[in-house]
Amino acid sequence: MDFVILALVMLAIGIYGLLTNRQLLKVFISIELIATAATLNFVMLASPQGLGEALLVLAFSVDTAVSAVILALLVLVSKRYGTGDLSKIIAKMQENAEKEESEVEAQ
Amino acid sequence: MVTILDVILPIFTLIVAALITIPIFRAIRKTSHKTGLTAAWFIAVFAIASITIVNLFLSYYSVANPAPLNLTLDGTSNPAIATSFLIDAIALYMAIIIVGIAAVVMVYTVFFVNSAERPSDRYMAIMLLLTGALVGAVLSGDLLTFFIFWEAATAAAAFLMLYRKNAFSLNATLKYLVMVIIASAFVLLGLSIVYGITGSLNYIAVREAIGTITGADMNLLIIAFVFVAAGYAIEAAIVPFHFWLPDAYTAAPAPSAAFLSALVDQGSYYILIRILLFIILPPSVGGVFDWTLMMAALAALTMIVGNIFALIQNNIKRLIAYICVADVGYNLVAITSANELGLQGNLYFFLIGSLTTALAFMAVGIINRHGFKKLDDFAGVGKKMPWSSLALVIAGLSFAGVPPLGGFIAKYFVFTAAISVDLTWLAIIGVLTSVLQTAYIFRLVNIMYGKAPKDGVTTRIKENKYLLIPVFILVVAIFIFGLFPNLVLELIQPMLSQLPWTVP
Amino acid sequence: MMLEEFSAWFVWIIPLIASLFVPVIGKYSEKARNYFVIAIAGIVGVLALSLVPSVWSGEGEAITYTIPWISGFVEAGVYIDSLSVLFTCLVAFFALIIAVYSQGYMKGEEGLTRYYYLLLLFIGSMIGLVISDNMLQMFIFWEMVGLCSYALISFWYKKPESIHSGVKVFIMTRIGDIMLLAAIAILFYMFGTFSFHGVIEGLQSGVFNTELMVITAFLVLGGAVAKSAQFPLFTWLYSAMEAPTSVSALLHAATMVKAGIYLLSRFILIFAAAPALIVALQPYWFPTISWIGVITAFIGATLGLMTTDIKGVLAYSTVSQIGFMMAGLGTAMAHTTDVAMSTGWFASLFHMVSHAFFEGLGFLLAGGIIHALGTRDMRLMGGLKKAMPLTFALMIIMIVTTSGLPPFAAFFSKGLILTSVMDAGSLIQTILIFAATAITFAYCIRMFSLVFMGKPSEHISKIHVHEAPKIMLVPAAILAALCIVWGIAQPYIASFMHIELEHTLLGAFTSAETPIFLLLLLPAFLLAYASYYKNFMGIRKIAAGKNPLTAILNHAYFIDDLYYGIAKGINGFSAALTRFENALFAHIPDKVGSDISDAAAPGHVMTLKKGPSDSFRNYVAAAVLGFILIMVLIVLTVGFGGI
Repeated sequence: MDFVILALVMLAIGIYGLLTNRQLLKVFISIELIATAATLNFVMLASPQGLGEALLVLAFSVDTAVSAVILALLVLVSKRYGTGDLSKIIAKMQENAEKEESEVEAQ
Repeated sequence: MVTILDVILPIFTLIVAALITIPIFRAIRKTSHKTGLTAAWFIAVFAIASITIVNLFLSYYSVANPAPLNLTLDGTSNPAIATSFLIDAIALYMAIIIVGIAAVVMVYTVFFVNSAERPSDRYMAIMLLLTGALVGAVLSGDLLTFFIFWEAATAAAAFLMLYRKNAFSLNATLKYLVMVIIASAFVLLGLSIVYGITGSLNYIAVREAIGTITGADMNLLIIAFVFVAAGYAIEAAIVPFHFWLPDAYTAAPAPSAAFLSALVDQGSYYILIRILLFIILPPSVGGVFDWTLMMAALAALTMIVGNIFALIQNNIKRLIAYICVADVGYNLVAITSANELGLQGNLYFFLIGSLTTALAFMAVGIINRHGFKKLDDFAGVGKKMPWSSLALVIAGLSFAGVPPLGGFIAKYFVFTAAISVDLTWLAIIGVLTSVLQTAYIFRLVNIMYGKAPKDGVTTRIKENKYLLIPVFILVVAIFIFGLFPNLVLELIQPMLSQLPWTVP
Repeated sequence: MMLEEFSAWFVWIIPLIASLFVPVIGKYSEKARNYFVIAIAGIVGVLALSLVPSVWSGEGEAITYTIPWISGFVEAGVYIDSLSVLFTCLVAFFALIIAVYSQGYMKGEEGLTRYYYLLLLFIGSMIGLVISDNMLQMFIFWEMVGLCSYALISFWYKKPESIHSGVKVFIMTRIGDIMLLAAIAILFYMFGTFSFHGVIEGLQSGVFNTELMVITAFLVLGGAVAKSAQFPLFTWLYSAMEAPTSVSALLHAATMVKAGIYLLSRFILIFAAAPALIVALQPYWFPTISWIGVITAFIGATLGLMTTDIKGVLAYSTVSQIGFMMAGLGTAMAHTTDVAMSTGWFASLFHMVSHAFFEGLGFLLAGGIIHALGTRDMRLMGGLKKAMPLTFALMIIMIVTTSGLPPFAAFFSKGLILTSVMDAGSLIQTILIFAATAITFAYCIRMFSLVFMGKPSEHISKIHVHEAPKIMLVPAAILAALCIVWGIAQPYIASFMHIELEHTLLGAFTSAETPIFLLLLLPAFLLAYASYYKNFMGIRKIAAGKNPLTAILNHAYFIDDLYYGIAKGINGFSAALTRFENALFAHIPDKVGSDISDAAAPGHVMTLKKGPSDSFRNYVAAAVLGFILIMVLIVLTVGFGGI
């Protein structure tokens, strides 16, 4: 049952990372870590039923696809706002929203 | 006879409708009857969705005393590992409520948001998507299918909060998202352990498997349970996981708040019912372990904290958000008193709670539009906007459990159930907090009708007729279900013979 | 369908349904609306009367008719016995009186449609309350009369005091409602039924938990105390006087405040199904009732001495008189376990009816005076004897009846209560209740002198005072006539209630308490007469000065201050909690969460002082704490062994 403990540790690290980081990339890595913890559990616990390999392949392919999409989004976001810092991005989004609103009012 | 197609049809209808809503709106915006056509589109969608639900309902009840039905997506393979749907009285009841209330809120939304605004089509499409995901979630037959639909619903819910992009709603949404991510992580981890122990995530298969486990597996099961329970407790906003809820509901526009409080929040104890009463089973009928104390403590905490915080809120929307937290507590009382009466009370409370919170947010939404937001602004609103104020007062009285409104019978069921399983102390806390509820509701009534407005203007403000129609549909529903609870209870009755401990 | 079944259903369904038509009719013609209300009140009266013969000729057994309501849970029904029919007739009679009186008193007011709508709703609910055959149905009506009372007290909603009083009354009576609800829940839990018949059968079978039943009895008492304005929850009735006087007469003198008396007498009847239970209740429960009764009777009477509000005097008089009834109920079962042998039980119900007559009369007359003068302050009155001779004459009847002088109604009814208390109560109780009777006389004389005697005040000389219109005097005259003759009805009512009275009618004059009672009245009369009629200033100076006695009386024994203190404490506590919450989780440093709505408004510029992740840390800390809480609770109950 060691991998259960490993998964729990990974979860704890992931949550800690989620809390302390403002960089989008680090937030993303933390979320990945949490997801991997659960995947690890699934795969290891499914092995006795003979489903471990099947799940592993499935999990890998889904994970890769999702990561690709998220990374693409991250690149887009940091290009648009010029930063990867979450609080700065929020501040900029807010400015944009206000600009939009004032434009609507002007019309 | 129910086929898998009957089950998928309502979910499919709603999600496909959500996807084609945006192109359809693009076409509608070019015509001159924007609002009318939008309303017509949603009425059509919900008419079709209702027909599919009614079809499912009728085909399920075409045999006398139907048993719970477990259907898999591919029809043939082992239900233990395939995506499966569970059709029984509770699932059908929830699906009917979700579609019904969503339809009423949807009509309100069409007239509430300005259809000329650009985000409005996305907004309404996401509402449809959320409805579809919720119907899928309540009809699902295994923990993983539920989890997937539920994640779709929470993601959609986050977008609903974000309609107005100001700092406050961005912040609230971000908080909600972080909490939801942590919740999903907890749930997923718990599910993985459950899967490891039992080899399946199907409700029925898990129930049968955990009945026989012992030793170290038992400890693992407890860990898994705590993870899953904590995860869903975050989403149901049980104290002490409730902090995201007041911010989120205050930031969200009125239709979203109505939608979230009535369906997403109230719906999240559906899974608690499934887990506690259908998988682990109540301790009195041979449950795997005793969860009564835990749920009772959380229920007491939620009722007390929700009501006390509601007492001093100055913003009306935030006040109602805290009442929602308190309502969660009353629901937990019903779950904790796990017998037939409690389950009946729970499902009845689910309906009444949804109607009441939706009504309150919708009425407040109308009043807020004219700039009345804080408690002081509400002075004299009763005379300025008599109809919306009346609706808000009725919602408040139903919250406080004043007969003959629905809230009274609902609370009565719940407390009677708690007393019948020797949880009298919980019922006493519930009753005392209800008194507190009366106090702040009447303070609100006092301010709305008794105080002169700050600016001294008492001219009547014209209320939008189209917004009042859905509001008063809910008012009538609260009255009718309060006076004739039988209408609802007859829908719930078949459930009593389908409980896992009554089925041989 | 039998006649009485038909009457028993429709006597409350008709006014409830008719109330919905009031706004419709009121839209077309005000006159038609007014006649419609009187007609409905008349029909209700006829239906109520038609219930009398079958009960009178019956054996004292209750008749019930039920229809299904919530399947497997409760049936709706009506319960016809002498108690419910007595109350039904009283409510129906007063409904008619007030419907007629309102034509004069409320003439020209705004919002009359709402008034009549609420009046009919109240009549239907009140009759529904007394005639229900199960506790759930009764409780719904119990709440509905509370709501009607709230709405009618706040009728003049433009006056802030009206609204404030309405809220106060509702919240205070709600405390009692909750206790009653708890009692009903316990009874349901024990007997699995809400119906009175079911509970009686359960008690007769003897299988019940005596201790739990005693607790239930106390909870029922709590409900009655709040609804009937008894110590320590009596202060709401004075606040309720913000209502129109016609409403005060109907709700706060004649009918609604008697709901508590109904509740107690009904439950005494039910408890009497098990003599063992009555024996268990004798040491604590019954004495508690009689103590509450005599204390309230005394406190109410003393407060009546101080207030300057003419309706305030009548309100405290009501509180005090209901205290008498409670004392009667509390001493009812001291020597017997059979209600049919109990003097106190009958005495308090008999006094309930005579009180309705004389207090109702008082309110109707006070209404006339307020109508003419435009004020409720007695210091602004005086010398009305000449200007309002008919009111003056009727008021004499009212005060002699209230004081219990022979041969008027209250002499017989109050006399029976005094007998019962002397017979069964302790010495202090007896002294207190006799003192209350004497003070009753004193406050009556005081009110009478301040209003009718002496020189007209400046306020009066400025306005032209007119006699009340006929339509207001006729209902008053009917009540006055009843005050005079009602006492003679005692044996008939006793046979209607199937009670065997030891006393004959003449016995009232010869029994032991009468001379004491009359002797006590004399000094009370002399004192009040001297100070208020003859302008002997000694007592009036004490009353106007600052000393502990007046401080206590002016603050109504500081009971309201106590409640406000508690309310403030709760508010302070939750404000502190909010500060705590904001300190931990607020993203915006604001006061008590108030600035959030500004922040949410579109276009509001706000700078984020903290990064979002800073407050997230607290959020997730809360989540982790909650996780640990769940873990600990589970491990506490289940245990965690094996690894």
